[in-house]
Amino acid sequence: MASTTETKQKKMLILKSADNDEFEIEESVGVQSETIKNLVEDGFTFVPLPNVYTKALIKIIDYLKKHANKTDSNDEEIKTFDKDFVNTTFDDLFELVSAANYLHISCLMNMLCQTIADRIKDKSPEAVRKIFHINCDYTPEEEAKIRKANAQAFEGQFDESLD
Amino acid sequence: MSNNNGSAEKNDGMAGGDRLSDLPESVLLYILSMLPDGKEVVRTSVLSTRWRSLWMSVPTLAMGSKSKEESSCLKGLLHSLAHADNLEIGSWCIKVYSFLKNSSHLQTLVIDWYNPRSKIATSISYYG
Repeated sequence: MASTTETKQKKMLILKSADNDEFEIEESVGVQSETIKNLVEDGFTFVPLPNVYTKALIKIIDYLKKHANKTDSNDEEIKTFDKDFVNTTFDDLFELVSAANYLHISCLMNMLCQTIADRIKDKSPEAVRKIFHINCDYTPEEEAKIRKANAQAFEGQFDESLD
Repeated sequence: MSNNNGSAEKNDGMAGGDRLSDLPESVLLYILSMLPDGKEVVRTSVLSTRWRSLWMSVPTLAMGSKSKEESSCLKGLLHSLAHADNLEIGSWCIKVYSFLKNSSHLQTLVIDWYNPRSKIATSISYYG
């Protein structure tokens, strides 16, 4: 019994992505996700994630590892990491926000949603539609009516760029 | 859990789907609530029919007004809310609306209402 400190091993989890890739991570890293935490509490060490694809999962594991090692002294380092993390395409941001939502990682959700909001805030409705592939199903008459009803919200100059 | 495999596949690839609208409504509302200006939130009503009333469920709308003219934006907003049939607006809120008509020096105003459809209480913060 005296040797427990010697033999104490880090508990590991296996995460399986939607495209069937498996990743081994420390339990302490994984439980930052509420979804994973609940499964761990139910005794699971193998966690299939049918809604999370490999590409997003690799990035999210990186994020979780970085944030699991948060200390008082590496605050700046984590800020820089976070900044790089969200400096990506809209496509990637949406993959990530969808995965973070499924995994219930609230600090990551917060950061991703804030990034998306910051990047669409000055865009024209036409640009937002293109960026997010929204099919406009209004008739021109209906659209004109909505613009008229809240005319002030549609006044001014908007950003037409798609990045 | 294995039942989810099928639906997960539809998100794969970039094949022209309505990606933003694929996200759960709670996530869309979260993103909308982080837009700094309520006007930006209202503007999303024109994106598609799904978005038409989504903004009315955003928990907080901030309306900033830098000029007298802009306060009419808030009036217009309240007007469309008052005419939205899926909202129950408290009588005091309508009172605020008529008060606004006569005032251009309003500093701060918070209006709360409750959307019975989405069961979400919304508040507009207005700062002059």
